[in-house]
Amino acid sequence: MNTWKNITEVPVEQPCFVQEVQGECRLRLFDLGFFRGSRVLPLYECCGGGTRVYRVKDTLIALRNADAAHISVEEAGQDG
Amino acid sequence: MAKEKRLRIALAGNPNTGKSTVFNALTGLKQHTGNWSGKTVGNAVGEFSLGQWDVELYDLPGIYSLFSDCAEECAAKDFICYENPDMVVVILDATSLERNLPLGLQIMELTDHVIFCLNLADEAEKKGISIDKALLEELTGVPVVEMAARQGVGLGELKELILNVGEGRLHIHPIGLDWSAFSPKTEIGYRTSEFQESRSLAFLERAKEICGEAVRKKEERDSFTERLDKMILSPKTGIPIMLLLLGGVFWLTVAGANVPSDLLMQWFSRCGEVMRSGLIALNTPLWLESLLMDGVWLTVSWVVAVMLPPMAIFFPLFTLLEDFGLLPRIAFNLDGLFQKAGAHGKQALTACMGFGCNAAGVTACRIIESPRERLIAILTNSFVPCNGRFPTLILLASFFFAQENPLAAGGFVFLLIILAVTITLLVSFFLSKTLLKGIPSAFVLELPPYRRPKVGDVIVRSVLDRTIFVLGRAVTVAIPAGAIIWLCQNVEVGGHTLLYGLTTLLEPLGSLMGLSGVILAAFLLGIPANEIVLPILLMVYSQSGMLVEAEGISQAGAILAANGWTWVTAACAILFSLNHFPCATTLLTIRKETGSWLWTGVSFLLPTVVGIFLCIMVNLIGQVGVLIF
Repeated sequence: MNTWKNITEVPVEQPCFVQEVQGECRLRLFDLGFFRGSRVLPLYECCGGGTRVYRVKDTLIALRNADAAHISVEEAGQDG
Repeated sequence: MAKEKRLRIALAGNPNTGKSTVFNALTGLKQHTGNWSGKTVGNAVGEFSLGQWDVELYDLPGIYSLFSDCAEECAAKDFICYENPDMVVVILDATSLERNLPLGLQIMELTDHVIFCLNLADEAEKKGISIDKALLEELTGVPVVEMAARQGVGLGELKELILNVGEGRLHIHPIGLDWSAFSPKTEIGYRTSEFQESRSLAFLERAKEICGEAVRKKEERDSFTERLDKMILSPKTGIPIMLLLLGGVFWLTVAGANVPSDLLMQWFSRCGEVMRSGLIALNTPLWLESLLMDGVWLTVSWVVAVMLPPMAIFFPLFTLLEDFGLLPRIAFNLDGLFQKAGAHGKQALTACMGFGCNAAGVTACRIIESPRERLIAILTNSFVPCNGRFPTLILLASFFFAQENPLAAGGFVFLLIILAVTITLLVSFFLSKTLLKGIPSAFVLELPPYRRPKVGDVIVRSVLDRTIFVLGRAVTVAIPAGAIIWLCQNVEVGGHTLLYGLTTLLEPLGSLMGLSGVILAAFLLGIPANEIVLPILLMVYSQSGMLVEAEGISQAGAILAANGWTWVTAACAILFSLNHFPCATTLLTIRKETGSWLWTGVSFLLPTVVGIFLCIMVNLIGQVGVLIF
């Protein structure tokens, strides 16, 4: 059943759905749109890595991997 | 409602929703709005009159939620709960209502007098998003106004609504959440964090529900932002584009500032002549006349003439980039580097600002939320050279390292900028591992869509907010400093001037650093503004008793060379110019921003120690090199 992944492992341009958010800053991540059921699209990685831009709820949000690692997602299928 | 004819209204909303634009449009007060989050730090208050009412408008900080426990959110929550405003106007971004609505729903739980403003309605329409206003009103029980505040659309309607609510013609009955849905199931299973989580989620789910019904969206994206982002955010093209842009801004600043600087200098010296004849007519003693004119007036005019034109060019250009939405993207592009240095991504922005003026850069550090990273950004800001140091750097690079070839000099200065950024990162890394050890705080940056900057607004804002502000502080410092410089040159103790005493005292350290006592003294006396370091040096070398303006690079270079400057001296002077104590204006700003003399002291010592160390190293290597070759 568990095909959950860490959101930082989802390749760029691969849409996914948030399953679970943990960690101390989860309320903040909720507010930004990362909560169960949200569709997220990783878009860009900064030079040198470590930070990525995600499209979530019609907005671009940059998150460092250290913070994004609290978000578990499931990759969307072909039509996702 | 209020019995006297006074209404107190709070403006709330997420960052980047155009809250400050609405505020400015209503009050006419020019409050600075930036296209990045976290700009409104203190509460701004404005007033306007509406019918027979005096309205006080409070601009709350931009927040996502009332419950995430950061300082700004607490401030907003406290204001709504304890200050009891008569009304809360919640600005919602129509282009992403689902992200904005939870805050509105939360505020509805605190007070009944809520009005929703669907701002950026024009942008939403362009993106193919349509919102059923009537349905939104029905589902929330709150009146809704559609707006495009930048274009002034919808302001009249909002004022009318405020008036209707204020005069009691319209009663609002918000439809709250169904609390039973997520109340703790058992007393034993109750935990605060769980409760907080389900409470937050309840608002988010409700917002999703409402938007599902009231928002229709054609699958049309902001293709302009997307296409531009493909270039700007890509690791391959992003950094070169950014360097080109910033390079262009610096070039325009340096190239464009010369002529107005000269004109200002001439104007000041003409005014000085008039004042001097006035002083003579009043029979002022000679020493006082000289102190006032050759000391205070000359220093002030130097500071204004040299600082004003570059700032008047740099700040508007920088504000244009900011308004366009580029700055958060620059911060993102550089975050890889800053992250490795244990610093905050937004420090890239404050450092960029520092290229214009370190004092402005230090003030800009307010956008960094976490205290640890903000302090790192403040302490390292003066490691990037400001406008005031560029003339010195360019002159030395050009005369000693580029045979006065402009292109080679430009390249050399570019390398110096890279060096400055590298040192900034290294020092940040050092601080984050030692003095300011800690876990890096969450870095969240919203990248807003690109927006066409409003050029007129930008010029007014950047001139008023930044240029005049920085200049005012600089003049305050220059007045006493001018007097001190004059005294050093002209007061004799035991047959020698104070300046001579100072240079003799500094000579041992100076020569160890590959410089001289005179050069170090010039840096010390140049503390009111970095611009006057070179003029002080030329003054001492030419024995003229007052600041000297060099006639072009060759002449200034020739004076330096005649006084024993070699390329090692020049290299060390460049290094010390890049790494030494911040100017007095910046120090005062650091004191104000950190509220601590201790940190101000650290910010004084840190670059100075780095500079002394680097100069000694380069001097040693240089001496050895001279011996070998």
